[in-house]
Amino acid sequence: MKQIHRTSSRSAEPVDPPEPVDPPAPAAAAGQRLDSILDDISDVLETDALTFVQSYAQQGGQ
Amino acid sequence: MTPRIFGLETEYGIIVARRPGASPTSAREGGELPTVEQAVKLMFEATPNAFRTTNHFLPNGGRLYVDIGSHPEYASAECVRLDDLVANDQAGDRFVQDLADTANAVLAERGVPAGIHVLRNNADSFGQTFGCHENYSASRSSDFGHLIRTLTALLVTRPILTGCGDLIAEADGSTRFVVSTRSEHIATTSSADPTKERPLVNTKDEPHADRTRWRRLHVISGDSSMAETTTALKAGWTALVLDLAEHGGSLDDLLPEDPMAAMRIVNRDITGRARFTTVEGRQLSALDVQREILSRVLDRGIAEDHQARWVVDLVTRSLDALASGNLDRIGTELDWVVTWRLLQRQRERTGVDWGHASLARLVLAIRDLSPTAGLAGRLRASGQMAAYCTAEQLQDALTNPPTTTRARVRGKFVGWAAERGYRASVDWSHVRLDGPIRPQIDLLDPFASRSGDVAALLAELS
Repeated sequence: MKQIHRTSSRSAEPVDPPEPVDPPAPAAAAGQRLDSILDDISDVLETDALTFVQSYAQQGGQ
Repeated sequence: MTPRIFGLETEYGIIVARRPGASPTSAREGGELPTVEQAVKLMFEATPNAFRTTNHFLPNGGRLYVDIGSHPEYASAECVRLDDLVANDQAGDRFVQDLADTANAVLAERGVPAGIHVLRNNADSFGQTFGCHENYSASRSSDFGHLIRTLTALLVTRPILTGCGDLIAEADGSTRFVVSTRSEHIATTSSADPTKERPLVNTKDEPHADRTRWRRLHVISGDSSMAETTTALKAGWTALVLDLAEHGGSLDDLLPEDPMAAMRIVNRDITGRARFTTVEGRQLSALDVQREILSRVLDRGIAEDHQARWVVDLVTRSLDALASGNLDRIGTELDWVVTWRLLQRQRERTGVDWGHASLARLVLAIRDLSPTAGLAGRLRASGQMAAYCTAEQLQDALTNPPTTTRARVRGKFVGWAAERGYRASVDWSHVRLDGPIRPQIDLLDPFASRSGDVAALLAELS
């Protein structure tokens, strides 16, 4: 599947990058509780995800 | 917590997508897929009489309409209690999804193999942004400049508590997780132009009330929240900081030297520890600033009401959890943490990197209001997204306005006029019967939950 990137309408101002840090990982037990939810929509995530994401195009609001 | 009027305005995103299994051939046979503009028009047409307009005040005190860019928008009723605010805000999701369900049924009848998805988020896939605006009443006698500076010091780092979590593309083509969508789009601290300037606070002076007594602080930098607890935290924490400012407290020393640069730094660091420079030359992180704000709020003292205690407890636990790196302690209460945990889990299961389309699709599923296509209902039912209101409160807010504000008067009038088929003109601060014709009744006190004039009108014609 192709890579897709969401873009920002305003480029970020030049800033010093934050100090690199390792993101905390969810605990194994908590992660397992999420699996059934992800299982429920596995077809959605694997089928035409790119097409769906790229179909999301609107005019800006406020 | 000082009695204050709260309100939320949520602009919804719309996707018109081919239904699963529909082939391009059948799409052509059924006609072109509707545009977003056509879909929104259909949503507001294919509905019962009470909604057959694009600008409608509702019996529950809220307002449903179409805003700039063909975004369905729901403005909550005026509320003084956080549970009223959350419940009334959630009612908006139900109303807009109901419109989409009805329109989808029409599309199905017409053989159009497309479905309308309503998303509670703040940017499309190409960087067009739209908002979730927060309203807080303030006394006209308050020092407006002081309130703006205080809000700036709060709002630059507040997303570490109240962001929704999102994926964005960096200049080098990589994709990364950020705590807030809107933080990427905010361009200045204050302005009266919310569309071109995109400030933290919209300074347009539009109180929708007696302007000699009140101002309306209009915060437009926040994300839409899926978790009820994040909605309550967003409004409650901001209100406590406004209380501090109105009683002489100051956060001026915590202002970043470059607020927009600081906001981007905070947004790219889910640990809350990345530092930026303040106007006094100190190097502080989002955690540092929010802890200092919490300390000053507690030093001033909070009223013995359960709302304030709940807010302070969640802020405290969130900052502790972030400092410890154990996000599971707040894994169901903060929007961005809910989103991050799901994305991280999916990456562990599939091995994909952050730029993979399936993760962008997952973010949209989290924000999709549909009970079948969206994940919020599943997350709530499984305890992975916390509740703030009871089911009874959420149900009640669909038809009944808050009982403690002007919304009670307006909502009752709207329902009464609709039941009798009377033509009426309604705005936030007035009601008027146009058929039969009666004089306009101004409702200039947003805290006034009763009106003798409106009661007399209803009695006369009932």
